[in-house]
Amino acid sequence: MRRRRLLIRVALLAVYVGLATLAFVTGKAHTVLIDNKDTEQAEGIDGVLVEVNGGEQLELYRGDRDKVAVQGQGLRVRVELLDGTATEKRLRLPVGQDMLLLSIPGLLAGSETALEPFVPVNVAPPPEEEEPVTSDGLSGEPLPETLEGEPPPLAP
Amino acid sequence: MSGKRSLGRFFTEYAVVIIFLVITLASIKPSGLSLVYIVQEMLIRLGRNSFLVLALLLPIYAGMGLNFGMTLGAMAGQIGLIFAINWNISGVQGLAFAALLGMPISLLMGWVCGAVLNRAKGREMVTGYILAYFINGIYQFIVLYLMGSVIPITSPAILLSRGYGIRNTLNLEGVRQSLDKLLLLRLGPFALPMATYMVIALLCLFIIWFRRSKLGQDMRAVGHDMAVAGMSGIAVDQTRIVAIIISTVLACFGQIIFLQNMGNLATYNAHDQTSFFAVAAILVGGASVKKATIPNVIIGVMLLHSLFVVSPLAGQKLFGSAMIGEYFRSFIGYGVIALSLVLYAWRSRRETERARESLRGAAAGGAPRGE
Repeated sequence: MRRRRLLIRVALLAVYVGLATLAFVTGKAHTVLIDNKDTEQAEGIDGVLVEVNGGEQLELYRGDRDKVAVQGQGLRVRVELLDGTATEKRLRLPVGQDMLLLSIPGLLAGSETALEPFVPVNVAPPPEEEEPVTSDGLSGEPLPETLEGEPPPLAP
Repeated sequence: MSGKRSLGRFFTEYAVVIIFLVITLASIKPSGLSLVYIVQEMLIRLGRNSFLVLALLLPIYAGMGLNFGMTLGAMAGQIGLIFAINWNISGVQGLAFAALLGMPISLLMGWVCGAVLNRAKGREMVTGYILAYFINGIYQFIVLYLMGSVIPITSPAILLSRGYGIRNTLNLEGVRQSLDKLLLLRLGPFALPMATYMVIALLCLFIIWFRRSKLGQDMRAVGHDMAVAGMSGIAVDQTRIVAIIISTVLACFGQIIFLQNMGNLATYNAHDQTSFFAVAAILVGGASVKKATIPNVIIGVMLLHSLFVVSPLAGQKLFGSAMIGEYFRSFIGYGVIALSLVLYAWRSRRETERARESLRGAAAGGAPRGE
């Protein structure tokens, strides 16, 4: 009886961990920068239509860069040149990487480094320090005021 | 005479619902809002709030009154969402992840709350209310000081620039309305979030099934009379703890559903009035401290929120200031809870007196026969 109970608990724990992992892996969002600039392997393409995971088509000219938000680990890229020739490639995104750069010329040239992690160089200045508004509502202090000088609306 | 008495009983039984209905109907015209707009708002708010209000049912069945301790579950849900945003998990998966992460925390919180309430039998509501304040302090300590310093938080978007502590307001862009838009049904001018409704319907089915189960029957027996339930072999304290644990876990899920609809999270304040609005809604729906049903929840959410929609504009039109409407909402919320509790106390007292009188009458009438 005790053994059975233990087995059920272990199974439940396994299901719990499995579900959390599944949600993490399939829900992890990535920002993919679609790049049409010259690389070491290939030159940028003058006029190309790029479609990521069946989403909106991006029209890129040589030197252009755009971005798409992707959910999950799979990346299906369809590249269509202006002469009508289309290529479709499937890539896997690394779980731990939030932002990646996909080079379209590199992808078409079959480069293994077409998809690489991207670290932004020009980091935006950090926002001004904000003082957290914490209140237990018991101290009798007035409610924080909004910009218009009126108390904030109640939670709906 | 009997008809007059039953009418009087009906009015005292449903006084809160009637008062609310009258005020809401009277506010519609001055608000100037179209019926289509009000109905659409109602449909959105029904999806947003019903799950949280349904979380109150089981403790009422167990005779523990209105679970003001549900705030603990709401905090657990918020912690789950903070981690989902930190790891950039979006869509319905982000919500599922937040729920899975919040669940063990809410289980623990529910157990703590249940254990405390078992030591304060008969004063569960006020104890739950104060316990929520106490746990709020711990929550603020964790989120304000431990997150980023002891608990690893890597996303600069949610971290305060000093390097630890979470920002005041978090943008839930990744999970915003992901459940609502999963299955959006357009019906004329109305948009119905069917996936959210399905989740609520599943919870309703669970509650109906649970009421009929052995544990559900035990819970109702405990709610009816703890002493009798204890004598008939029911583990009273354990049953009460289970009721609170389930309620807290449901509140955790409910808060996640609520926040995904809102699209942002006020880290330190979002949970403050969760229990207050849920309790107000169920009372407006005709429930009492001892008795509540699923229809009470649905009617309550619709009535309370229809007033919340129309009152700011009605206030603006009638008194020249929208803020009067805002204060009116607060006044109504607290007023409903107070009125319901007073009416409940008055009814209980009257019923006790009536029972005592009938016993006296029976004794007086029965005495000569006995002699």
